[in-house]
Amino acid sequence: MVNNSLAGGLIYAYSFAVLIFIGFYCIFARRNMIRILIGLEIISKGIALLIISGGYPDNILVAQALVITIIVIEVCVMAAGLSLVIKAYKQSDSIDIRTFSKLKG
Amino acid sequence: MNALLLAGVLIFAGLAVFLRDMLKAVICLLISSVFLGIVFFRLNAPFAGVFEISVVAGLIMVLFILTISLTGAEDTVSEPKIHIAFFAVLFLIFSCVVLYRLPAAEKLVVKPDHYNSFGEVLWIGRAFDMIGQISVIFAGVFVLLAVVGRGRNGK
Repeated sequence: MVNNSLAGGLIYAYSFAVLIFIGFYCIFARRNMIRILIGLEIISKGIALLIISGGYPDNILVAQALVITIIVIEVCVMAAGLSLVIKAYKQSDSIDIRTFSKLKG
Repeated sequence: MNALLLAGVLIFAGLAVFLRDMLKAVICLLISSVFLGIVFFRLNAPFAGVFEISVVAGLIMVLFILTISLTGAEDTVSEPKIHIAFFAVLFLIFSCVVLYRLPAAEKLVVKPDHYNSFGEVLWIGRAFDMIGQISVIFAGVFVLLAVVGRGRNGK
């Protein structure tokens, strides 16, 4: 982010920040479980953008390897989270995150 | 050009949060991923771009659409009244910190790596990450089996 021109670095820094804040807003201000996972997805997009822009142009190979690792982890988290959403919907007929507070065991 | 693409990423990510229709929201997230993949291509990161477009914009969106179709597409959950101004203030604070501290951040730039190809980085330099990736994939499969799979009695 900072090893190319300062103005170019600022664009990526602000884009990262806006993505992170959109994601946090989505997580904190929404109760729909699918929306919360969408927020998590947006945050991971911001982090991937930060890593790639930080590695550009000298360390771009390592940055790509890290981003691919992040994407693989993201897929597993999303699959696990969405399967939990489906299970919660089957249990309580709702995808409101507050229904999770009624879980026992 | 990159600024326009990043603006597209931000606008469609915002739409994904604020649109009420879940299916449209997920499609906006998909378009945002495609824009981000193009940004990666333009930053000389073709492998990350390919993964972003094929895996994030493809596989994860299929999972989202599948979940929406299984749980009902309408957004019936009542949302709390958290004001977006709170996050706007946080963003302004972040902006001030970035503008004030960005010159100091140049000291954090690490030396260029000595690898010649992406394969060397992935299989030699970051080989430990690959072990972690394989472990995470297995963990994801086990979670899916544990959550969605049937119990021993078939219940």
